[in-house]
Amino acid sequence: MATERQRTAPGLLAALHQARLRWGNPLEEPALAELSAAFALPPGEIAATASFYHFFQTPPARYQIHFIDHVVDHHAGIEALCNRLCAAFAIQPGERTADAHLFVGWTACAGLSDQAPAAIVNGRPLPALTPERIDAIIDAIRAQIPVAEWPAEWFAVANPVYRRGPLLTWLHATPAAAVLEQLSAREPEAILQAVADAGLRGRGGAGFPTATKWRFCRETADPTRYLICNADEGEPGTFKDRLLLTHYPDHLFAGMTLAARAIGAQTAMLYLRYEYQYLLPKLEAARERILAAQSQLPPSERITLEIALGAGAYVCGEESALIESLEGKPGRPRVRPPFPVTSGYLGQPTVVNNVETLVAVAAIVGNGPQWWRSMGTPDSSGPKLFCVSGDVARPGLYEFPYGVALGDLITAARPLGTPYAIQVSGPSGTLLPATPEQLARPLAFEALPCNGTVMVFDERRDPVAIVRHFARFFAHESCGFCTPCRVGTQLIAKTFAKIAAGYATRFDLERLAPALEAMRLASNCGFGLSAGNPVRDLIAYFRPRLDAHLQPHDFLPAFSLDAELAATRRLTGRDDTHAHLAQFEQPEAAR
Amino acid sequence: MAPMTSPFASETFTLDGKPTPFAPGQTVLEAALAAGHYIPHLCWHPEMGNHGSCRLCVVEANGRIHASCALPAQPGLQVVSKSETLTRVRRTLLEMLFAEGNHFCPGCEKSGDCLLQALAYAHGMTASHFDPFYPQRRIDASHPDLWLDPNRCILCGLCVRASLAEGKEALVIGGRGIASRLLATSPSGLLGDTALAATDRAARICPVGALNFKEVGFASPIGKRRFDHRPPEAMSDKERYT
Repeated sequence: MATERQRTAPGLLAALHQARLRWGNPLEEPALAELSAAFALPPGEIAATASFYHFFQTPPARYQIHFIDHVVDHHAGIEALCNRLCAAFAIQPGERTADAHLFVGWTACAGLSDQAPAAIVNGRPLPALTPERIDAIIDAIRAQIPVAEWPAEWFAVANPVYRRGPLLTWLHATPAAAVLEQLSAREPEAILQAVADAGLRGRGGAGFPTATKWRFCRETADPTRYLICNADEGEPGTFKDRLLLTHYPDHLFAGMTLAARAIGAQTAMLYLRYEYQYLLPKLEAARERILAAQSQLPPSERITLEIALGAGAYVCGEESALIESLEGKPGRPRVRPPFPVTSGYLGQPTVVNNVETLVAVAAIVGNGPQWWRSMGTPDSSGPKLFCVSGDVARPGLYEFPYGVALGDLITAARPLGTPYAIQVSGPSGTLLPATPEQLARPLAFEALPCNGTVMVFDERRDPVAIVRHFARFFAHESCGFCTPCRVGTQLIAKTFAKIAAGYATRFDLERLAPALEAMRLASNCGFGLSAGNPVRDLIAYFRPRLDAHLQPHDFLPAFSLDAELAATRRLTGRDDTHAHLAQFEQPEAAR
Repeated sequence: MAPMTSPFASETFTLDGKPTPFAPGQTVLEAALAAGHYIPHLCWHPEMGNHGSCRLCVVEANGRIHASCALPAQPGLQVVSKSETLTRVRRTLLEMLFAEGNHFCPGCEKSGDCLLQALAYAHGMTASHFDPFYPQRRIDASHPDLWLDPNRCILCGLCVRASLAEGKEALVIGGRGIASRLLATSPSGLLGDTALAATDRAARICPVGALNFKEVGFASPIGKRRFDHRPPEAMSDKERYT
């Protein structure tokens, strides 16, 4: 049977990054011709891959600045900061200055919600922006100071941890190489058994039992297998992996090595989101150290460690999309079955695990499964890293055992006002009202599942506006492969734009219902299945707030009728009452 | 053509209450079609297999919703392909496709010969109740024999798959999300600069009015076209697919 999937081209994303640095635009001759020849692919296939990823679309410019288009950043005033910069150079967001020096655009959450408002310049983070910092950036650009010479403190990403538990304490105290030297770390079955006994479940959000996934892969007949670490931390509001990648990369590579051993893989690869590329030097050094720690082993027992970089696509956090991306293709989730454990990277059995999961593997092998089991709940064992952001005095990381009550986590982060709405597990998770019943719910797979992300919104925030931000995010990030998600995310975004403009009626909301149903039931992957969740929760928990935005009529046009007549009024020189049009006219019978 | 079942079929699953035989490796959709049980679909094709993108072939299997084109048939599987919910979801998906593209049937030369239109009729779709997106993608008329209207493309990937199968890779799907679009793989990005020939399988497999032949648009009069008198469900494989 034929497949529309492009041919595999591992390394194509890295080559596109190189081409961008060298030629500015990877899609212009001669870059395209060179890539086409190097990968033996028609130019159109190179273009198909490049056109999928956000950061390959940026026009060449000496300064490429992307402001973070995330609800927490918006609440922190990002739009005014973006406008301030744009106004200084007389451009609009999405535009480049006439001299092609500066491009300013928007991008999705870059894992910096604890230091919002933030931006990215030439791939480097600019956290905790202020009007003063923007003015300094304007001066630096005007003076044509290269980004490499900008003050280091502008790029300083902090990793505030407000609650340490056994996991972070152990990571801080124990060198990663010590774990690899343990006898139990050499024996695949022992590693697998320890992880099974610990009851470890995937920390990326889905909560699949890690050992079960490993066993599926290990039991395949094909001896060429891959272990992939998913460091594409893209769920808006999430930044827990950033801490692990920054401070404990050795433990991560040790965990990857252990997992690779357990499943019988020869190669372990780290897929890093583009927004975290500033961590590459640290990660590269850690990779070298863990490779060196293996040098005493017979070559057949050594695990090859590799690092690959994404290019801006939230959906690549979905494991089969991540694999497609590693293969040099657009990151469209695959149709399953087959699942990656039997047919993954290059068609070989593959396990994809989250960063936190693989660090947990190192901790479990280091401390034994009973240590892990003694924390959390029977169904959600172990400690968990939570990242809290939004309207709290202490946005940052919190280590709690699974089972902690949502309210206790939020209290620890010191809410600024009275919490009103809580987003658990990011936009694709659940939007809850901050009622005593909801705050009492334990965060655990069997209760209120949580990937670690909690965003707190107090009474100042309008849940309708929050959902509008999420709707725009999903519409921007849908891969476009399957009908319900490609079209449905657009329908939601358009409806919420209409609501924001004040032209939406109850009818607009009602006709969205079948689209939400089709997305929830018929989408190809978790993205489309959950992209309607914010609307679902808004209707379930915040209906009066939503209704307050809806017009009482059956139908209203999506634009201002009167404003459309402005040109005609100007041309005819009229401004009498008959030269104006009401947005809504009473039906004959009611007059 | 009488419905055929594979000579190797030995085991059965239940499809809408009826035991249905299947051969090892067959999907639910393939086994259903082989047994003469039609499940609506746009991107699956007997020569090209599954794609999984249109999602029209969704069924309920053991209580969960699956695309039947990707679901392996298994003994004892309980499959429901006809229900109020499934029909509604399929109609919504069709309405979504109509809203997304510029599918103005009265002015389209493919009218009556279009699988999207035929399935919309079969599902009782009288109008799209979503506001149309009115895309304005450039029409590609660079090829001497063919022309491409990407505003009518439903991204089923049939031409892409067919061209790949015949070793030409003339077409590919690029972009992301709502900007996903059919691309010619030539350096110019034009169809006329690819190796695609009018005699290629890829040139005549489009189920809608996206990839068309020049100069023959109305050679077959309205009223005498494939779906003018019968829905896809009532047809054999040979008649149903282009």
